[in-house]
Amino acid sequence: MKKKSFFKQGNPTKILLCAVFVAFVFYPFIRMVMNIESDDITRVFQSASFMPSLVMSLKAAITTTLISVSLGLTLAFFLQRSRIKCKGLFTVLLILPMLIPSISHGMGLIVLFGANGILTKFLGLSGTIYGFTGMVVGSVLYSYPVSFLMFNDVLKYEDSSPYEAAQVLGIPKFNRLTAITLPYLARPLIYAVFTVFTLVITDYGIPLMIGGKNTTLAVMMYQEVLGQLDFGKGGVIGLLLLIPAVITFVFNTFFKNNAKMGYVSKPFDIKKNFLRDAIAYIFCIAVVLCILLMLVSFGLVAFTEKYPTDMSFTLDNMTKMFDRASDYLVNSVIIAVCVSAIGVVVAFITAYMTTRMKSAMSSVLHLFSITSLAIPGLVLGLSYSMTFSGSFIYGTMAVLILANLMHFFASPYQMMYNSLSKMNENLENVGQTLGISRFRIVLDVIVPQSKSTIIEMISYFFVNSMMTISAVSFLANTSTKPISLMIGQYEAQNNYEYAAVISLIILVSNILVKSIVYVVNRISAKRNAYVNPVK
Amino acid sequence: MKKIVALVMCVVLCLSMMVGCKEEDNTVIIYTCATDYRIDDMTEQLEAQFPEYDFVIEYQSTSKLAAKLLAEGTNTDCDIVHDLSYLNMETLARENILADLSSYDTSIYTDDVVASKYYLPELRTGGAIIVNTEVLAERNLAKPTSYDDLLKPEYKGLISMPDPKSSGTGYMFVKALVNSWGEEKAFDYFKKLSDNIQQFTSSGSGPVNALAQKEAAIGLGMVANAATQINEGVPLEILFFEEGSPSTAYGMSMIDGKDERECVKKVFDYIVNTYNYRSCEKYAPEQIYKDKIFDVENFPKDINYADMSGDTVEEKERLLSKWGNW
Amino acid sequence: MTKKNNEAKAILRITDVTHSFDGKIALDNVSFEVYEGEFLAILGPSGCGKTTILRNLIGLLFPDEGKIYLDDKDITCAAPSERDMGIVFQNYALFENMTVLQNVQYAMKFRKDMKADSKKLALDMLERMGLSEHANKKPNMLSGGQQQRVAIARTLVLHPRVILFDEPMSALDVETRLSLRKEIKQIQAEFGTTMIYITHDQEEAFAMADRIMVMDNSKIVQLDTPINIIKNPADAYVQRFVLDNLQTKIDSLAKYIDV
Repeated sequence: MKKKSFFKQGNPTKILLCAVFVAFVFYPFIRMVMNIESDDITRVFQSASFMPSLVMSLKAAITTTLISVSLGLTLAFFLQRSRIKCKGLFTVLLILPMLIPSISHGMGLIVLFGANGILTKFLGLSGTIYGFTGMVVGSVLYSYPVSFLMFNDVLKYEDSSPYEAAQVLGIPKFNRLTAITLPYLARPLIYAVFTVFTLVITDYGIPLMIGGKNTTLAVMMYQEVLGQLDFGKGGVIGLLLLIPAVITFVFNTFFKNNAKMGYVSKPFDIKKNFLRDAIAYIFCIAVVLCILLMLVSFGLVAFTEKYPTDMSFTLDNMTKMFDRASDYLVNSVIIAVCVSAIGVVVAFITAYMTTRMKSAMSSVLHLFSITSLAIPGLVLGLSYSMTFSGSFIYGTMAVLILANLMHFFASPYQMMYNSLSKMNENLENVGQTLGISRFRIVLDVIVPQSKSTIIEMISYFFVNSMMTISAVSFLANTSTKPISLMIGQYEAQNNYEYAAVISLIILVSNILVKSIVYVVNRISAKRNAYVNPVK
Repeated sequence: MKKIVALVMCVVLCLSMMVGCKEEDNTVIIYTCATDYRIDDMTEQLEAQFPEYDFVIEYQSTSKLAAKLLAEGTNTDCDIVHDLSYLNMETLARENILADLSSYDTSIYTDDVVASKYYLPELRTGGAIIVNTEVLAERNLAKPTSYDDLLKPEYKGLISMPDPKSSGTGYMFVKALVNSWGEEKAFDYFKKLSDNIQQFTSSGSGPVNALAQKEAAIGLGMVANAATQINEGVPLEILFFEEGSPSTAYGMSMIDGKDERECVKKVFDYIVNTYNYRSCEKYAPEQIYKDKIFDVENFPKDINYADMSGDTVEEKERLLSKWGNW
Repeated sequence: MTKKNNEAKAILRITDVTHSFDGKIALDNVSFEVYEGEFLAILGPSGCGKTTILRNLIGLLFPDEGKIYLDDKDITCAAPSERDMGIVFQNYALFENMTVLQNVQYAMKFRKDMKADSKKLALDMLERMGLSEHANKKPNMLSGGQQQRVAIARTLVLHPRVILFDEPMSALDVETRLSLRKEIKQIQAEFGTTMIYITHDQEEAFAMADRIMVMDNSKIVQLDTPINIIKNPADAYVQRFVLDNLQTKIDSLAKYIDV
C-alpha cells in the first residue's frame, strides 16, 4: 500500500526532476565554488581594480535602483489610479526596453547623448554621458520596466474597500496613504528593490559600453575573467554577485505575502480629476517619448551609410547584416524555440507535480525549481563552462539551450504554479470516478484551461533567450553563437551601424512573438467570451 | 493539433542536435582579431578563391581568443588563428597548441619579425595618437604635442583608449611608456590620464572608430586604422610623440593537427603566400617583407618605433595586474 | 436500525472501516449500511471524518482496515471507476474548457459500450435534466443551479448505483441553496438513484435526508431517521450539536410566527 502511494504521488518523476536541477544548477555551481582556491580570494581582493569596482558597482546599482523603482511605481500609479486613456498602449510602449539586450541601450545613449550625440548637439548639452551618469541612465532604461510591471500588477489587484472604509471614517488622505497604501506596498516595494538591484549589479553590458573609466564587478568578471579564463578569480567575483540575488530569493521564498490576496478585490472607482490626469498624461508621454527616441536612434544609425559623417540613407547595413548574421539569427531562433518548447513542458510537469500531486517531495521540488532565480546568468554561464567543458554537449546548441532553460526557468514555473493552484482541486478526482485517466484529464482539461498561461510562458522563454548575453557569452562558439552576442562584438569596435541593425532584428523578432501571443490570447478570449455567472 | 505541436518539437530538437554537431569536412573556421572591414575583405577573397569551401571567420578580442584557445587546446573548433599578437602566439606555442610550420620559408620576412617555427608573421601594427581635426577645431582645441598634453583639463572626456586588459593595442601603449619612462612614472601617468578618458574600449579599433564618429577628439589607436579612415575622407591626423610609436607584431598559424586537413592547409597557404600581401598593403603597410615596401597613401613614412623590449607573457601579466587602480 | 428501514435492501455495506493519515486516526472502526434508493445525509463538523468516509466509498482513498461491499460485492480495493458510483464535488469541478454537452459526453468516450451513442445519450440526459438549451454553452455562463445539474448529469449519464455529494452547496447563498435542495430531491425522485450527501448544515440534513448519520471525532454517533433523532438523541453531543442548533433557529423564527 505504502509503496503504491509512493508511485501514485509521482515521486519517481519528482525525484527525476530534482535530479535534473541538481545536475544542471547545483552541481555546476558547486564545481565553480570548489574551484576557488584561497589564493584566488586574495588575488581578487588585493587586485588594484577590486575596491574601485566594488564601490562603483554598489554606487551605480543603488542609484539605479532608487530611480528605477520610483519611476516604475510612479508610472504604475498613474496608469492604475488615473483616468487616462490608452492604458494598454502605454503599458506596451513602456515595456519595450525589456525586449532588447541591455548592451543596446548603452549604444542608444551614445548616439543620443555622446560627445557628438544628436541631442547633445541639438540641445547644446555640456558634460559627458560616459561614466557614472551613463551607467545609471542606461541601467534605468532596461530595469525600470521590471519594477513597473510588478507595481502595475500589485496596484491593479489592490482592494479598494479599505479606502472606502477609511473615507467613511473621515480619515484624511495623507493618513490613508501611510496607513493603507504603504503597508500594502511594503512587500512588493522591497521585492522590487532587491530584484532591480540584483539585475543591475550583475549586468556588464551597460558599464562596459558607457562606463568611461569605471569598471564594475560584473565587468571585471566578464572582461578579466572571460578574457583570461581565470576561473578561480571569476568564481570569487561570482560568489560576491550572488549575495544580492540570494537575499532576494530568501526574501521572496520565506517571507510570504501575509495579506493574501483575496479572490475578490473591489476595483477602484477613480473619480474625475483633471489636474491628476493631466499630470499623468504628461509624465507617461514624456517617458514613452524617451523610449521611442532611443529606438528611433537605433533606426537612424541602422540605416545610415556611415554614422555620423555620411548620414545618407542606405539598406547596405541591413542586407550585409542579414547576410552575415542570418546564421546567428537562425541559431538564436533555434535556441529560443527549443528553450520555449522544452521549458514549457518541463515547467508544466514540475508545476503539476508541486501543485496537484502533493507529497513531501513537492516542497523540495518547488524549492529546487525556484533556486535558479538566485543564480545570475553570468555566474551560471561561468559554472557551466567549467563543468561541461570537454563533455560531449560542450560546443553544441544543447549546452546553450540547457543554460537558458535553467537560467529562465523559475518565472515561467511560478506562472504555471499559480495557475494550477487556482484550478479546482477535484478535476483529477472527477476523472478517476468517471473512469478517465489522470493523463487524459491533464491533456483534455488542465492543459486547455491553462492555455493563456502556457502562451505567456512560451513568450517569456522565447524573448529572454533571444536577448540574453550573460549566460551564453561563456558557452557559445562559432557554430552555435546566438545573434545577441554580436551586439557586444560590434560595440566593442564602436561599429554602431551593425550593432544597431542587430538590436533592431532582436527587437523586431521579440515584438513579433509578443504580438502573436497577444493575438492568440485575444482570439481565445473571444471564443471563451466570459459572461459573469448569473446569481 | 497536439500531434502537430509534438512533431514540430521533435523536428526542432533534431535540428538543434544537427546544428550543434555539424562537422562538415569542407568548413574552415578562422578566428581572427582583425577589424571588421578586414574580415569582410578576407571573407570575400577566400570565398572567391575557394568556392568549394565554407568559411566561418570570427572576430574575437585578443585576450579572449588567446584564453579560449588555451582553455580548449587542440580540441577547439578553430582551424586557423589569425591576427593574434606575438605575445599570445608565444603562449599558445609553448602549450603545443600550434602546428609546426618549419616547412615554410621565413627568409622572406625581415629578421625582426621572425620569431618562432610555430607561427608566421602576418603584420606589424604601430600605434599613434590620432586626432579628429574637425572635432578639435569645433571645440577650439589645439593639437596635443606630447603625452603630457593629454592630461590637460580641456581634453577631459574626449580621449578614447583601448582597455589594455582586453586589447593588445591598449597594452602596447602601456608597455612602450613603461619602457621609456620607468614603471612608476608610466602608471602614475595612466592614472592621471584615466580622468580624461571618455571610454576604455574593449577593442583596439574602438578609438579610431570613435574618432570617425566624432564621438572622441583624441584616440590612442592604430596607425593603419587611421590611414584607412583618412583615405575614406574622415578628417583624422596621425601624431607621433617623442617616445616613438609603440608596435606589436601579429602572427598566424594553424591549430596542431588541423594542418592535416587538406582544406585548412590549402587556405592557410593561400593566406600566407597571396592574401597577406594584399592585406598588408590595404590595412597594415608597416614593413614585414624584406623586399616589399608598401606605399600607401596617407600612411606615414619613416616611423620611429618605440622600444618594446622585454615584452614577455609574464611581464604583461604583471603589468596588467597593476592596471586599474584609479 | 429501525424496524422500518431493515425491510429495505442494503446496497452498500461498510464494515469496521478504519483510516488514518500519518498515524492520525480519521475513521475509527466505522460500520453502517446504506439502503437502495434512500437519501442518506452524513452530518458533522469539519474534521469529524465525513469527507474521509466519502473518499473511501468512492475509492479516492483506501481503508487501512475493514471492508466495503456494494451489492455484496467486495469493492474495498476497486478503482473509483469500477464502483458504479458517481460524485459531485464542492464547486462541481466542471471542465471549464468544454461545453455543457462535452462535459456530459466526455467520460462516455472512454467506454466501449457507450462510445458510439455518446452524443445521443448525452443529449438525452441534458433533455431530462432540462439543460438542452444550454448544451453548447461553457459552464461559466450558467447559474449555480444549472452548474450543479451539469455536474449531476455528468455522473448520472454513466448510470451509477450511488451518487455522493461532497458539501456541494457550502459556498452558495441561502436562496440558491433552497432551490438546489429541491432540485436534488426531484432528480432523485426521477432517477431513483441512491444518494449520500455530506453536510455540516443541520437544517439541510433534516430537510433532505431519509436518514441522517451524525458523526463526531472519527466515529458514528447516531444513524437514524430525522424524526427518531429528534425524539431520541443518542447522547449529549447530538443534543447539543444537532438539536439545540436547530432549536435556536426555530426559536428565532417562532417569535415572528407566534404573535
